[in-house]
Amino acid sequence: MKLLILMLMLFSITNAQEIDSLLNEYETDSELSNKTKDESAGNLIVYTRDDLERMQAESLQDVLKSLRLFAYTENRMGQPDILNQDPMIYYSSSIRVYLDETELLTAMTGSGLILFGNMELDFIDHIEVYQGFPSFDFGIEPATVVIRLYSKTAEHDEGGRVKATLATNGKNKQNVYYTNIEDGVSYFIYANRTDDIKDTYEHQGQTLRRDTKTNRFYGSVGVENHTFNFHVMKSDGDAFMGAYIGNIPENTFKKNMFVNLSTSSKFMDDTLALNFSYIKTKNKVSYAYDAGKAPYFLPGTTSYLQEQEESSFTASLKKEWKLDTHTVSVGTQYRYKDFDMDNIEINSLVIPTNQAYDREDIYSLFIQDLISLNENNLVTLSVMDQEYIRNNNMKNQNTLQLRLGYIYTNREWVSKTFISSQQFATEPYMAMQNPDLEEQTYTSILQEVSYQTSQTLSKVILGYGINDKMIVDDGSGVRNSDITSALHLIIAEFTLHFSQKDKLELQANYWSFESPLEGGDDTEHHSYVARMLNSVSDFDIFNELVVHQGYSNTDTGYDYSAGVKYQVNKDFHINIKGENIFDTGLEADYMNQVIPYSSSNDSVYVPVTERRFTLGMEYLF
Amino acid sequence: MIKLLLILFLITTTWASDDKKASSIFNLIAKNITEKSSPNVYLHKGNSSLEKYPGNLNITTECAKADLVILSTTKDIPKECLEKILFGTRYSHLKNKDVVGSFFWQKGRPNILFYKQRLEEHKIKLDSSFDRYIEN
Repeated sequence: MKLLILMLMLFSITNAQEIDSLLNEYETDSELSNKTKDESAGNLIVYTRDDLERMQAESLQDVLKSLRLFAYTENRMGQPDILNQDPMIYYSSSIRVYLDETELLTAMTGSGLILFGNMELDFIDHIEVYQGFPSFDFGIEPATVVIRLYSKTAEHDEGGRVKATLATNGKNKQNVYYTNIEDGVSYFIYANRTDDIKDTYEHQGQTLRRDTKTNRFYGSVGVENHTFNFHVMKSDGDAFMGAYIGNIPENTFKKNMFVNLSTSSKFMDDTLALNFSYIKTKNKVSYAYDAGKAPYFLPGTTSYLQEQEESSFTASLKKEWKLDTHTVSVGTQYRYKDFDMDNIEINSLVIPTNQAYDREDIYSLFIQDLISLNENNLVTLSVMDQEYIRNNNMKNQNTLQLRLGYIYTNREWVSKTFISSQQFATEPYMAMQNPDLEEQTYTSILQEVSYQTSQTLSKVILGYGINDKMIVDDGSGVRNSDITSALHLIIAEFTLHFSQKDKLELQANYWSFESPLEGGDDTEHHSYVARMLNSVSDFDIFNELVVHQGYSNTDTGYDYSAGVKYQVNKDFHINIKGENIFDTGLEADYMNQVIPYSSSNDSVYVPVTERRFTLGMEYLF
Repeated sequence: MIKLLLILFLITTTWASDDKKASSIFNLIAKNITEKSSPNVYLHKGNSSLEKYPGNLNITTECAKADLVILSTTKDIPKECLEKILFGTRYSHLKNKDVVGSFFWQKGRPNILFYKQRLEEHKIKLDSSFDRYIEN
């Protein structure tokens, strides 16, 4: 009898393991990121749906703050800018952000990061980040980093969800989505409202604020191989210190409106892709200054208002052929951008401006060949060229990019080598300030080696690059630097899956960058990340420590965040998360008086991620 | 060989593996519901995983011969199927009280859910490995 009971128990345990482990394996194999990621396209970081859920990643900032090599920060106007804080120069223009097949673009800056760098992630399934001058077939213009966001799908999220979060400083967010497939038509609709309330900072007799309210609607409809997307975002809030140095405004305001219509279609067994996208953006910024406390370059100003309108249209066509050992891709793309930033009022008087140009047409062509030398070796060759045609006799530009990659793989080892030389055209925002700016050239070599076992993944990346004619602002204006700046980077990563639902990730990153400014300080930036994701019964537990040392010459930041998510039942989930729990995370140093430099007391130090505890609830229906 | 590289480095396609895993799960569920090692299964409006990889299931085109009906939709279910055990593939299929359980995606994760009362009505006794997937 005892033997029989023992056998029954063993049978029961085996079956339980079988169905549980089958479900877990099915979930891992079916991750949408497995179907979209492209390992040959660059040095890839994937945040799967499971990662984002268990990390409780509420916004893109939560992901970017631990991104290797960079540190998420915001400029003086409270706008996301990974590489820089000076709003006169937007260095993040080479960081391209995509939502599904559509580039989230702002025509002036060239990158959507400025508007979407801290976008909420409640409608996003997974994220892929391609670093190291990624493949050209992503988009019309070159990039140093490509961030691809993929929205949720009816296949994996059928039904609806309402979610609300409330944080200790008052930040609150509410959103709802519904998705379904009926008669071969899939649709996804999503609406969100975020009231991002942040601490205020007293400086030189003024109160600095950076609150933002954002409303978003996103909808997509898919029929067979065609998808139509509609995306509207409206935000308004404070502009923190404002763009201008010298004195701090008594009050600031900024407002953005973004509308995007896009379609993507695939034909001929998915080897031909045709995408269209139209974007309209309106931006408004205003500052009020106390009498006698005008900004340095605008003496006598008590009120400043600027409105901008931008639009862009992009059409791209890509065809892929598989010919014996070659996979050849050819793409042609066209984009027009127009922009109007003429509407400036100072002290309520319209100021006549002379906008150098207001339209840019970009024609782009790329060809890429992936050559399978044998079972283990792959070579990729890519060439891309753009012609930038501008109106009003503005100087046109032609830019060329070359990329050579070699990839070796076997069951355990993967080696990726990428050599690239890329020219970047001057974005309108910079060209307006100096029409004579020339193309910047980035040349780099990156070597990645990874070793995988059943439970571990170890990775080392080494990189060296030189940047020519970088755009700098030395106080006398925006210009190309005469200095060739060298960049060195070393990355080491280790991931341990100590069970199917428990993993530990460790990262150590170092990069040094020679200043493109004469006599400027070189940067040596170290960052370290330790992240642990655990699941116990119906609880998902998240712990993360992000350390930044040497970034922008600020003190070392130790940002410890942790969270727990509890599945009360299939339909109801609650979560609590603490960010920068010990309030020791990275701070950004904002200076008011840059010219003439006054004193060290002029700096205001602001946490990039404020200490905050968030309670969230979501209900599925 | 070339295919191996393309799978690794081009757009990585794992549909085949997905379908095989999904089929294994359907097989285990069908075996438990019907208590047969090779049950007859009718697929209402198709099922890509089971059509490609039926495993031990006998896919029948006649509902009358089926031990189990797996639904892609709850619309237009043939009359002769309504007397059979119905199993869903979406959470919303459980709104139909004739559906005993469902294997579906929710919140980016695959789920299995049975309702106890419905199992009892059909005198279905699942083995204890499914206990955590049964709700009252």
